[in-house]
Amino acid sequence: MPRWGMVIDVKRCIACWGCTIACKEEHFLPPGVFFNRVLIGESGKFPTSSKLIYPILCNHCSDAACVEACPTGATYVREDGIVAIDDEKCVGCRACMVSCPYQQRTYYDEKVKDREYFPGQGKTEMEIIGEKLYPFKLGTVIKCNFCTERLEDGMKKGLTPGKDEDATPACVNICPVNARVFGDLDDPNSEINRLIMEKKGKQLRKEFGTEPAVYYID
Amino acid sequence: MTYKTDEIWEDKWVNTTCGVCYCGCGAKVRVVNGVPVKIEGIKETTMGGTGAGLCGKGAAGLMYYHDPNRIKKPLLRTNPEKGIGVDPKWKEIEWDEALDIISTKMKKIMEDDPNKILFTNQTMRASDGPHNHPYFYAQAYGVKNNGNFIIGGGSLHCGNACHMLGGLIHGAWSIAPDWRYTKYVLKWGSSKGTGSGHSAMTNARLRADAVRRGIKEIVFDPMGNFAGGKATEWLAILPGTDAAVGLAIANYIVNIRGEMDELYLKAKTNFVYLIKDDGTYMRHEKSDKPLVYDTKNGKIKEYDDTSAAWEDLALDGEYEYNGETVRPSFVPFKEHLKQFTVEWAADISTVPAAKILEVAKGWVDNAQIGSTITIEGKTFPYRPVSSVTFRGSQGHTNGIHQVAAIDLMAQLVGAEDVPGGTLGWPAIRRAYPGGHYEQTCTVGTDGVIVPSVFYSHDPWPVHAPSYPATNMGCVDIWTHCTLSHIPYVEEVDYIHEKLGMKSKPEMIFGISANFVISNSDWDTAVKNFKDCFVVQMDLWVNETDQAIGDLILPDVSYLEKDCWSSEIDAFFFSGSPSYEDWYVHLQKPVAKPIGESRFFMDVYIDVANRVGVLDKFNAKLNDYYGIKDPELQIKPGEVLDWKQIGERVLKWVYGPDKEKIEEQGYATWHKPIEDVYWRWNIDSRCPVYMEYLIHDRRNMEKIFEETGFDYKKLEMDMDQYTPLPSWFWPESHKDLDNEYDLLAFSYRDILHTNNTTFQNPYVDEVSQMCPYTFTITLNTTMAKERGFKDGDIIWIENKYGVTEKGIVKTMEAQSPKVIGIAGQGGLWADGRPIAKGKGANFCKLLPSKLKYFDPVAGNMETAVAVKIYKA
Repeated sequence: MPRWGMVIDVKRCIACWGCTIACKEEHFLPPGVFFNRVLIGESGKFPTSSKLIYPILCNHCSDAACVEACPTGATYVREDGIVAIDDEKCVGCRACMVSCPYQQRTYYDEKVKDREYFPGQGKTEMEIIGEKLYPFKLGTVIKCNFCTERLEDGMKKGLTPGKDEDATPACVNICPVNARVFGDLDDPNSEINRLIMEKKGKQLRKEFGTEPAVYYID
Repeated sequence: MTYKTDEIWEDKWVNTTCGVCYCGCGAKVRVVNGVPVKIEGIKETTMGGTGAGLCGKGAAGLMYYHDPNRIKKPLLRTNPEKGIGVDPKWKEIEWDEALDIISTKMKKIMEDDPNKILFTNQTMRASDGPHNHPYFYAQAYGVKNNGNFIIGGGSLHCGNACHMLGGLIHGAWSIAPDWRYTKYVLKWGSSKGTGSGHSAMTNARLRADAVRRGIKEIVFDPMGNFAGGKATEWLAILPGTDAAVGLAIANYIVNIRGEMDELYLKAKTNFVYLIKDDGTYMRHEKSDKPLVYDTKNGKIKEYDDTSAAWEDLALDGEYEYNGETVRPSFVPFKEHLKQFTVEWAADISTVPAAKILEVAKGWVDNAQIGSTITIEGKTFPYRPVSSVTFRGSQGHTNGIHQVAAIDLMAQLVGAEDVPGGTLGWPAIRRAYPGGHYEQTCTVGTDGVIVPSVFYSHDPWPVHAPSYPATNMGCVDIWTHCTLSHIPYVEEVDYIHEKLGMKSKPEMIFGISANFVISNSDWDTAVKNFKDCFVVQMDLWVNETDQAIGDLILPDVSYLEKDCWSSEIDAFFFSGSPSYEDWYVHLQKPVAKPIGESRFFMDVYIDVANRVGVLDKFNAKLNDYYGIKDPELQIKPGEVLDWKQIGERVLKWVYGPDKEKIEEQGYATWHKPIEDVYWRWNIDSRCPVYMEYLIHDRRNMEKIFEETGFDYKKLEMDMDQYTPLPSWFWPESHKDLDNEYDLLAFSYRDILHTNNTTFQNPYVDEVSQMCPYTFTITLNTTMAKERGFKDGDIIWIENKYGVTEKGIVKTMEAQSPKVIGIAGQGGLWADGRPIAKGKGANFCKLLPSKLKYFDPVAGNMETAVAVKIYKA
């Protein structure tokens, strides 16, 4: 069984936000909800300051704080490493949202559902069809799932996640500069393990001890 | 891919071309039950076939289709009063009535003078449609040349000087580093490879690979954001002072280090051409060709005399020809450079002298003068250094000298169109295998390259300035403007009167332009155009439409468009820029047109047919694509829509593969390596010594004297018409004083294409998460000293009392003497509610007097002296 993970090359990344928007389309996310974001800031002082760009998403931690915090067992780590939410079990207590050190979770309720991309002008055909194609359950917490459906559908067709786009997360596919690599962290020969080894991949805020499956190289 | 339900009766992907900026990346769209719901890149072709995707705004393009604010029927103004803040009182009318109004007006104007009709190009949403065809279209009406074109959304901030020298040096519209083989890149006010410029994402991918390979990238820019923030080293520079640094580096190369690619200078530039005391070429009395001195046998010869070996041509010395003293143009050039010391450049630019010196050394050290590289069995000179610029550095009154100085350092080490150097987009487009339509550049007078295709007018040979001016842009006089600045100039009436311009415009036929708010001072733009009958084809009622539009026609978005022609003719700026296979993406409709919207090319055809000029337009198409097959030619009297025309043209262009290409939505084919690194395969010379400017000046001053056109009163700096790249202070710097002590500049944000993307809700919400996109940036220390902090609302005011409001965001990576504003915000059109009120508008702060425009290329001064205070 693979353990899925991702490497993000911040040296390549130009902060175009392709990942953010492709993810919104993939999951038909309402306004204000993001499974992928880009943090932009800077460090240092003029004239030697430098720009910081960190594309972030759920880290799919193997020792996830959200799993620990969930009182109902709705949030769990799958065998393939993906941190998933069983919306039948989720009671919307939002303890996971508080516990996630990476602020990657959103509570989905009527207020979120009712938002319109063109406020006051009604939902677009895309928003309406999205609610049918990719329904979220009201009163539950939602987040990035490494495009689980895409992975599973693709693998059923014999495709390889990280190589074939129909079996690879949307944010990886869209990236115009190939800054994201997806693959199996348990496979010592995988591209992501090579990059993590060669470029000394780092996890964000490793000190929280949650063992993220998303690594950054620069 | 996602959960399916019983209600889904269609779920498919359609290949098309992204239409959100002018780059034209391959895009595929997921369509569910007829509704476009997702956009991705096309791995097999996208930007050259190495499996990358799209940028954020490209992914967000869906919203063009879904926007409920799209206009759905033609709108006619019923309120005769025009202006900003005046309700046009639109009335919906039928298409037939709208087209009848347009054609009736056009016919009436044409009886008098077709040059009274203005057309706009459409860089606002371009690649979203054919690129070059609006120019032929205007010609079909009898419009004389490009002076009747007013700029679309790209606005005059865009590349007049860059395009002019891109054409003259590279036979191309634009330049980029050869990311594959370069080692050392200098970027000047340009974000090539980090999100902007032509083929932006192709370059971004190539750059990412180059950065991973370990290249050094040094960025000169007032802010360390898109380009500077990603650079190996960012050097803060004041806007418009790049030429000073460039000239100091050139001086270092020539006079201090003394290491140049002499063979290149002798073989590939006009530095060997002999000039007289007045700076003009000494020409052969019979052939009129410039002359060179052959040191081997001590003879003066025509420049292309094959009996003289390149290495024997003189770069120095003084000679006699027909009793006159002549010398190679390199002699005064070398002497001229001596004044440009690094200390002098540091004072002007604020880049420390030691840094300039370090960069200059790095440049020569990395140039590997004399080295060669063998790629696929073919050997080329290898010069892994590249110096590129675009919108930022050239958008100043000294624009032509900025670009010339930046180009100069590449010339001196021979790093032009060779591996590792600066590349133009290929000047040669070979035909698709089995098809036709091949475009090859030619070599014109004095050995200068003539591009195979160029927008507006060819940069070479230079047309001599002539009187009277025959169009609003007066390009008869200002011959180097890609798109003329004169229509936007405050003193336009005086200019027209003095220069005999009799074709006062009466009508504008435009495509999605927003020139009222996207160029300079809004009030001048309204004043200059409000008396015209303004027809625009647009998605929404934008600011220009609301202020001065008379008739607005609903256009389709790229998602509803069948446009086979997007990129066939755009190879010289929108194709693969480097040694990558050619690609062309077709635009296929993924959904039905919204409301009664119609593709503007079909509207063009309908109007031309009603006016009676369709045969002329069709003949131009036959000619442009070189269609020789009589079956495929459009015949006189035939009325075909754009798709039907495409059926024929595509058959001609792609031959037997037409169906296959149409089905897959793109074509890729091999680009020969010699077409990429062509410099030593085409016997041409770069006019680095800008001799033509001497003649231009003489002709213009003669016209000005005869007509009484008081250019001195208008402070038009004719001294810039000098053959040597020189230093001139940008007009904005001259306005600095104790009160107006900051220079405001603008930059392109990766999320936005001019102002159209401001109406996209996906882009809008992401823009709000980005700290800089909708704010006004100030250097942190400077802000603190002046009592400003993040979130403060401030006014910016220029010397003419024009103000704009915005929100402060402090930033370490910004020069303390400037303030930065991204793009074209501060919008107010009622037809674009998402865009309304977002960001700040930089353009309105730019004064529109003639003195604020580059006297040679027509670039607008895109920095402005301002003061800021709390709102």
